[in-house]
Amino acid sequence: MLFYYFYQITFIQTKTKKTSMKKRLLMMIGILFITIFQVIAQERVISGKVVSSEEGSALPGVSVTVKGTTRGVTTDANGFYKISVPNNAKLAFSFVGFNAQDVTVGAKTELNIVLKSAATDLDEVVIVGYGTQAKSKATYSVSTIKSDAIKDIPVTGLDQAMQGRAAGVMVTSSSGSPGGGVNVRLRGGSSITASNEPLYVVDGIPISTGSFSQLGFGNQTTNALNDIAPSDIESIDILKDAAASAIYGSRAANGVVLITTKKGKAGKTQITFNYSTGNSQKYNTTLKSISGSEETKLLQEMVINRYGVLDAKGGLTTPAFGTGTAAWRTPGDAAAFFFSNDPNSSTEQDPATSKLFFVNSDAEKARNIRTVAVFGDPTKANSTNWQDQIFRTAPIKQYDISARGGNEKTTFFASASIFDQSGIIVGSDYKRYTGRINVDNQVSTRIKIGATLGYTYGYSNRINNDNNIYGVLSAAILMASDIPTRFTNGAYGKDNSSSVENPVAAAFEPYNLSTFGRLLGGVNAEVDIIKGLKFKSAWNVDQVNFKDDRFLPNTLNAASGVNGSGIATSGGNLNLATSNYFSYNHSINNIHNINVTAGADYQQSSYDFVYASATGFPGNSIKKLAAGATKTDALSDGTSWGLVSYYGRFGYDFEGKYLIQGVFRADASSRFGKDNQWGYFPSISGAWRVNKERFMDDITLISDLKVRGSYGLTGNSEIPNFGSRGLLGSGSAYQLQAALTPSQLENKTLKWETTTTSEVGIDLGLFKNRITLSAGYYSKYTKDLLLNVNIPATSGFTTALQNFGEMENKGFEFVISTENVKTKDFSWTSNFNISANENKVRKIFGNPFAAGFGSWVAQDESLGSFRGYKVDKIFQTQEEIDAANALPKTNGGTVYQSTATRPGDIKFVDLNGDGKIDANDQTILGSAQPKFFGSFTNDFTFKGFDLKIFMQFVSGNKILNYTRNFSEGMNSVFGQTDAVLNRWTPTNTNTTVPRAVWGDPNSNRRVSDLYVEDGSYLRFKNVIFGYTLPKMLSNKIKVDRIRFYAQAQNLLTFTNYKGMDPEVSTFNSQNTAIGGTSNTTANAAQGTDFLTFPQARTYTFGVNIGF
Amino acid sequence: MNKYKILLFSAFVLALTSCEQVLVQDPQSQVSTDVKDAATARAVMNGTYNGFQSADYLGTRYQLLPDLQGGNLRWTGTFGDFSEISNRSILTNNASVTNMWIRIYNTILRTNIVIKSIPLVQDGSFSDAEKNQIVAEARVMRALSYFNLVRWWGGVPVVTEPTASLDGLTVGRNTVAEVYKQIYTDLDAAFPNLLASNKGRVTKGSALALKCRAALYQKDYATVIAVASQIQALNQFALVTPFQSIFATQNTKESIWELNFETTNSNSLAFFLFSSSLGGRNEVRPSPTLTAAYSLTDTRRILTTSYDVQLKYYRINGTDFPIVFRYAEVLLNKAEALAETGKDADAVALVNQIRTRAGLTAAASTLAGQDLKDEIFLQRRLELALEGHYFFDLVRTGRAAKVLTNWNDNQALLPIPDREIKANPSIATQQNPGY
Repeated sequence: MLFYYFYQITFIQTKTKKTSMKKRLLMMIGILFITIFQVIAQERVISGKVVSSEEGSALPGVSVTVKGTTRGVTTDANGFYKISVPNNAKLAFSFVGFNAQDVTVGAKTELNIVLKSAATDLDEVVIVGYGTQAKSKATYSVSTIKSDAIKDIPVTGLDQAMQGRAAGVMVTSSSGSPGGGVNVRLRGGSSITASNEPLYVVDGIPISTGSFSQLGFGNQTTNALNDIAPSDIESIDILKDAAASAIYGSRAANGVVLITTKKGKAGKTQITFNYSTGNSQKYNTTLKSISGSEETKLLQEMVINRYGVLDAKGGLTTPAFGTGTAAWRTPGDAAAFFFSNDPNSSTEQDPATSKLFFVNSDAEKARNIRTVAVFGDPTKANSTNWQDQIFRTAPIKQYDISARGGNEKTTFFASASIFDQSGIIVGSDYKRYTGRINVDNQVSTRIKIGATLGYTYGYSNRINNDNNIYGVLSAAILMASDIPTRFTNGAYGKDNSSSVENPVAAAFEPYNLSTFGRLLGGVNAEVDIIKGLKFKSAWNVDQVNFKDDRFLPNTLNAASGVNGSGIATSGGNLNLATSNYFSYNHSINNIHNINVTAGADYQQSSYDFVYASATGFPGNSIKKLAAGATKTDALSDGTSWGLVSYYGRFGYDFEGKYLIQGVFRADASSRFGKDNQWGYFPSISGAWRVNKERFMDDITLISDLKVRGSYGLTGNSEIPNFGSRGLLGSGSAYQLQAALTPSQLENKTLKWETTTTSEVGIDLGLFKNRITLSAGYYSKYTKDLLLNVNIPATSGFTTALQNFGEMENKGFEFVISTENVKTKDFSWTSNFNISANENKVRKIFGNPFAAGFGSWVAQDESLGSFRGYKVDKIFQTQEEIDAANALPKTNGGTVYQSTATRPGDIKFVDLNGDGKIDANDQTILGSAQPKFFGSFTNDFTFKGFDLKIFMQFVSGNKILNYTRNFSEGMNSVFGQTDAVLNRWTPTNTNTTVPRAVWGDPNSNRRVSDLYVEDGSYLRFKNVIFGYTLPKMLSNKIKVDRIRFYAQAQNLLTFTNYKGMDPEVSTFNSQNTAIGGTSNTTANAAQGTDFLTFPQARTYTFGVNIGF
Repeated sequence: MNKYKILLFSAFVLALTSCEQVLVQDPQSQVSTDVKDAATARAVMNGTYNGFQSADYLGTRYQLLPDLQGGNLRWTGTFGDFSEISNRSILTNNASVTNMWIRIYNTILRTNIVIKSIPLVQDGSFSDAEKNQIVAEARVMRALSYFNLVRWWGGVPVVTEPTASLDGLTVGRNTVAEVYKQIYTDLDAAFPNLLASNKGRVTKGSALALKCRAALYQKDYATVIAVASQIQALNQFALVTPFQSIFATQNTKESIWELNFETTNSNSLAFFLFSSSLGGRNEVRPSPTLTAAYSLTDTRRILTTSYDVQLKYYRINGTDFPIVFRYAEVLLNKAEALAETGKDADAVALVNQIRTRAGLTAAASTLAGQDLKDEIFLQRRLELALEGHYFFDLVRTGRAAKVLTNWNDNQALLPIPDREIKANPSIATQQNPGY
């Protein structure tokens, strides 16, 4: 494959040399002629400087020719030129990347020219798939985010940077982990099982995204998109509707994000340097844990409520924790016995009262937890504030340096950056080094070649969190506060009645290093074949490497039994792609304009990995597996997919007034079943530019008005690589002999999901575009939804992958941008966007199903719905319980809820009225999908000062705060938060918090509306205040431009949510290299908070310097 | 210029044509489902044993759940589904119950594949004797799986064909009698072709031990006595001392079938039972009542507090070998059958074998009637604790109502998992009573 490419390049270059030889000859002849002319004609000399409209920098290499002659010069290194011209001559200034300009010389002898960069042209250009298009001629909505919008903000990746910047783009950081996963939804999710993440295309390369780590960290994932430094990005163009994205066919159903990296620019080399530094910290104080003595009191209360009967003298009769009877002297004796873990402790009988009392062993007394003395007097309990020990103020630093320059033939952009962030929880950090070089060369008048090359290397120390008893934050909340950080003998404090790790040990002891590298680059060539007809060929590579090293020393619960445990993994994904297309533009008298694009793409992605683990280490100083005595696992495996695509686009417009465009793509994927190898994805769109009509000429108020509509099909091919085949899986064994086991049922018809999108929209510009408005309504309908259809497990399989379901998304998007004030010294611009998306699952196979902790997928409900019980009230008396139990008894049942229900337990609502609470009494409690979301940005400049205030909001979504299911569970030894201080007791009856009872026999903790909270929030996401030194001053220190700024991220958050952060999603999508149907939980259980690393508030200070 | 264009174009076309091969991709660690040769057949057979090794089956939950249901274990961990099981207020979506159902039927699929496809394999190196032996082993494993299903759920759907397509997957429940009939059919058909001895695999002894156990559950005491005597007559098995050595050493004379695990293929038994400071997750612990049931001199005594350091499952690296059938159980089965049929003296003699091995004094030879039955029951509890028996013994001997708090008869059976009721319309209305 590559051979042909090199062949082409070599061939082109050979030809070029010949051409330029010819050219040189011609030029020499030309110079001769010029010399002769100078002698014979009336001549005068004119001189001047050519500068760029951007930054006013000098432009060297601009071609200056006398119109109608062959006479010409180029500007020198400082942009100066000198040319002799005849009278009344016209000079033509032209330069690559800038709009050409013709100027009549007149009587002047000096002529300074400002060339306008093509990119800053009024008629903005947007990047679409396989080419660019004038925004005014686009028949669909494209949201563009420019580099300016995302600069100076302390984020790891471009997906985070996209948050709130464009209508219809919902970005949720799944946690505050440095370098962690981010969920991006363009106009809602269209799939239940496959990925709902958009396709990311960097400089024409569809790249791999998601998490490549092979180790679990609760639900914490990594994010391969972070491999692209935001500072290298020129623009992000987001294709949302089918008319634009259909050209990416079977991968475009979730939209396409086109990322363009910065390219060279002819002119004086500009060097920019950015540096910022700052700190992050936890921004709120919710989830406050109770003290050790409160915890001790609570534990005793739980045991008594479950097992004990108090006698008149304060003694306790317990049915010996389940069976028999035992009379205890005090509740403290019983509780201490219950929690005793030491065989040397004993029970003895009080000769006077015949009651039992409990004698702690010396070892237990030394630990001072849950002894008779402590239960007898809870003020003697230890009290540890775990959260204080694991949260910290964490530094963040960022350095970027870039150089950009070139001449009219060759331009380049080169950059290097370092991003270094520590997490606000001890033990987590992320460090990334990137380098990039992009070069373009005009080989000849017809041939242009270019290369882009980015390399990223970095590493991240990671910690467990979320649904994980070895997590740091999870342990800090779930470990009871009566456990000391360390026992008096120096060992980590452990709760022998709990499986939760000591949070400080969890933070400091494990070694979890992820190392990543990525090479993203390609070469391309563009040939002008005849006027208007171009051929472009690009050959790209995207190579991701990911390595995990884990070592758990024997000081940790997870490894104490095996004398240390280690895992090493290494994985890599190689993604090769080539794209080859012709494009043709033709205009007949500027009336009939057509453009045609047609081409073919090929892509192959292969993923390989190795994984090894060992236990039995000689102490904790050697972390590598070499030292492990027992190698517990070793495997290598790989998977791959390939895609062949043919595509075309045809556009026609009449006088730029009536526009129509058709797009077609055919995709064949190795993932599809035998009977469905090819998928076809057409789209059509049209627009009417009303302001181009005669009758609009007099309406000067309206500067732009366009009405547009589109319709098209796109697909989602994120199905497993071999999901259609009947397979036996390997990897298992019995008695060290290899085993094969059935892993998958065959389905030859398996194919992509198809989404039909229709959209209507209007773009309006008022007062010479000082106010621009864009509004659109869309409707997306997805069918052949890939579902892991539940089949009877009696078949030996639980699910079979089938194209079955249907889903609908519809909504509107509205964007308004205004230039409120524009004077010489002061300007104020605002940008507001708001989107609403309504998502409904329209068809699934068979019955609704559960996902995550309390999420529910059901027909005609939105994806991300929560389902559970409804709380009626708290039972206050036994009479109330007896009354509730009366009805089921008449129906032949036994009890309303449970035989163990007692006063203080929750009474759930009997929704179906059958007198008993069972699974059928659950209902939808809300959805994680917001009713609307958006952002509001205000930019102010006053002289050298600039201020940007960026706010974002999400409204109407629900969060399942599953953390509270544990932290307010009052059923076991888990650490509890201060909400439980208001628990029901016979003397505190006016409350919504149930009683404390060991084991929760009434299931007060079942998923109910108690844990489903409003997740709406308004957040001052970024506030940036900057000051640029006057040129006079900065020039003195030999720099062109110097700006200082201060930035605050997550400065203020307004929300009613009780958890640590409303921007949360404990479940994440899988990576795209493997293709996967394991995304069901991420898609369906969005908006679940379970001990998740919260977002931080970050302050940074920075400086931008331009040379 | 023309020549250049032609060359460019042909290079382009060539490059692209060669790219069509990107569509040819194959799995690298999976094979298609056809069993065509001896090596694949043997690997599929190993896969059948592997089915039992899951933590949802004989790899952990098979042993722990009946003792959690019966109160030999108490729940001290974080799994809500274990809490429900220990409270015996089990919801139909209980994860452990659901996964166990799924895993047992998955193991049955593996046995069905073996039974159906191995006789068809044409491979010169694959003798008919070996084929028959492999099929026989699969039949015993299928019988064991149906036995586990029927004692936990009652009459369940009986599936004896491997699943190859999405058609005909919905099957209704069979009766308890039909399930037992299938169990006996498999055991009797398998018996002649089984290996005589190999403690890591299913042998003649395993088939008999299962038949003995199944007959006991059926209260078919004559069969229990006859089959137990048949096992005794094999002269392969004996009680070993000390008691602990059964679990400390592999392949003792007492064990009939033990499931092997290695560090690379481990179980979670010790991990679930051990406290966190010893590397476990402290999910369940022996209850104080179990400890209290042992006399102080009983070598089988399981302590609530010091459980971590000894006894049945104590290898935190997951290499404990759960014993599926052992000789002591056969003797207790026979003793119970004898006592139930009035042959008290013979029963006492058997119980005393168990007692003396445990370091207890022999029971009086005059022990008889209900006292004898209670003694046999107690010895079963003490001998077989944490081996997957206690709850079933409580239920089948009618003791559950007396011993367990908050008992109602519906708790005798687990709920059919909610996902199954929903995925299989044929059993939609056939949920066990009370769920």
